[in-house]
Amino acid sequence: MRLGAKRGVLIVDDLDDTREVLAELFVHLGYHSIMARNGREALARLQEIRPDVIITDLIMDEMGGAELVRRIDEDARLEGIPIILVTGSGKPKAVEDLGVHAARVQTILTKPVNLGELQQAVEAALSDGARA
Amino acid sequence: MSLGEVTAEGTLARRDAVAEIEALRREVERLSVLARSERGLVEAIVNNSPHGVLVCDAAGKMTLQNRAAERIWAGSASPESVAGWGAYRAFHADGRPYAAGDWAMARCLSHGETIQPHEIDVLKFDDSCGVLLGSCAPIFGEDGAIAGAISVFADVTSFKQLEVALKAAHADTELLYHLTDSVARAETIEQVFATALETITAGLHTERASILLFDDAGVMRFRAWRGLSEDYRRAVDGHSPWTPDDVAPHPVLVQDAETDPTMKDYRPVFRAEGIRTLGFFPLVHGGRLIGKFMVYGAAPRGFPPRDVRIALAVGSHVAQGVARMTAGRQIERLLAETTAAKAAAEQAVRARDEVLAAVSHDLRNQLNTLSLSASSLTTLASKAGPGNLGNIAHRLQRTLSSMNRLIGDLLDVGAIDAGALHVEPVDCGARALLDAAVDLLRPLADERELRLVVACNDGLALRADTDRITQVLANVVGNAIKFTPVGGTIRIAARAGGDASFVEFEVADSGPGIAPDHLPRVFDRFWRPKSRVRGVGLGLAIARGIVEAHGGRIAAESPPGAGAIIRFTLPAR
Repeated sequence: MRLGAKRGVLIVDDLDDTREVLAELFVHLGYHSIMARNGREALARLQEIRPDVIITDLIMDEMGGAELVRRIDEDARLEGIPIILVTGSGKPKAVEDLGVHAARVQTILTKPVNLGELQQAVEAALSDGARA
Repeated sequence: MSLGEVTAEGTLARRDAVAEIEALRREVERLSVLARSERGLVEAIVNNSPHGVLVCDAAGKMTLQNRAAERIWAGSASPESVAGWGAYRAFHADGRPYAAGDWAMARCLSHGETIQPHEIDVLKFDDSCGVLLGSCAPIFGEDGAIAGAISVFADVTSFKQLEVALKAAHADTELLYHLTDSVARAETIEQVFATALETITAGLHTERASILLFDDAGVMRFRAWRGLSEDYRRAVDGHSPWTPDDVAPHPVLVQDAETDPTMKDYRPVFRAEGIRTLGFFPLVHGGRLIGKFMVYGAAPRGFPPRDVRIALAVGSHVAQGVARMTAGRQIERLLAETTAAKAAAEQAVRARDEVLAAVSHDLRNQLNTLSLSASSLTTLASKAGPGNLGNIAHRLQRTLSSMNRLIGDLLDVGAIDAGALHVEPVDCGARALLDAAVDLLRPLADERELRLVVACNDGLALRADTDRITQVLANVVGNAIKFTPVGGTIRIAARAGGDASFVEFEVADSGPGIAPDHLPRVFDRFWRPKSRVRGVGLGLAIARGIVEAHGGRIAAESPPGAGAIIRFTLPAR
């Protein structure tokens, strides 16, 4: 299902406040926000919709960001959706967790995330996706 | 003077004696065939010789005896025939006494043979023992027939005694060298004991010996022995002629236990074991008595200085060996302690790193929310209505207080670890404590549609730090809320226990319970079941710290098919 004229952002984070503030922000920035509490919920959402970009936390209960990236990487139907990974544990730990699937991630941002940086990363990912 | 020189001198002296005796005998032989007129010369030479000279005729009758011969034998038998030589007493190497015909004189007469210098053990006329070195040759008459025989001999008793003493000294040196070497090579204290017992039994020609050491209580205990029964060891265990603080203990030598008054009490034990003689030798190391070393004999006997020297040498080696092994063990123990301390320090560093990782992760998450909320505020301030701003402000507030709680929890854990958690118990009511906690948690429970059921008798009084116990209840009940599925029930109860000496609180949920292998860990810091719920895992650890600071106890239980139960006790008023 396409999401109409607006670009869709899938926000995956298990902290309710973070997830909600990001969702509100992207709505105000003119995106359509979709929320998921963890990797498992995100995969369920991806069965129904195809967002233009995925923003996911790394460490989450149920299923974390690294496992989510691996599942997306191995699913041909989800090819081409850019992923932005947000981590509180530092980039090297994130790259280590991702292993061979690190290449599937466009950008890794460390917490606390600067909104300007996040917006830039999303826009860059979208323009890359448009070229692809 | 070293032993080597003495041996060489002894050998040299013996060789000189042999050569002298041979030369003298040949000279007498030569002169004896000279004319009668020259007999005076012969007699002069013979009489002035330091060696014994005896001459007999063909029948064995003694015809000449010099002064030296009489002196050496301490007398004379003046035999008239070969049979008369039997009065001179001597012994073969195998101990058989000489028959008259065994004497070299007799063999010279009967066979005409020359007997080369040889040693003979003799019993002199004054009944003293001696060793003679002698040679013998026949004397031929002018007609070529055997006219008699001549014997020349020297008294080598003192040489032989020296030789025996040298051999014994050499054997002792060997024995002590072997002991030193074995003790130095020993890797265990048992090896030191074994080599010491071997040395003493060989050196003192005894079959029984033992080694005893003071134990930690200062009592002498058997550590190694040879030839002693268990009954005997049990009967005399702990006995010592010295006390542990004796500065210079001397050996105690009991030549005959039957007559020695100091051994009176032990006589029945000695008799049963067949012991008459005992030697007690102190084991001293670094000026301190560490034990004793015993030798036993079945017959009364003296302890010559040499035996005492050997025993003391063995004792000194045992003491050194024991000290060395003890020092070795102390070093090993210190090493083990150091290793353990290092492991504990590493564990502490790891624990600290885990804390830092967990905390920084959680604090970053909250900072992230704050940062994004602040950005939202900036971005939306112009566009959004007051409602949105209210949402954002509320979120900022919530995140800040959550950070504050986390920091407070960390400080509590630090205080609990340092044993510095301070509680101020006051008289209070259980009902009021439960109500305060439930008020605090009600919104959280409502969110998950959980029922909080409180059961408590009014008037149930206790002594507790009310703020801290509210914190315990908030943590325990908060935990139950996290784990109980939507629509469940959490029962909170307080009741008197242990003859009303304490109050027991109980929080039981209708959740999935706690896996048996998780039960022992639920109160550990930073522990939480993997991938189930959020949180750093400090709540129950802090609850335990606070309860224990009150002198109470906390425990988790999970009956099969039911939810988890956490119980804790606090002292009653």
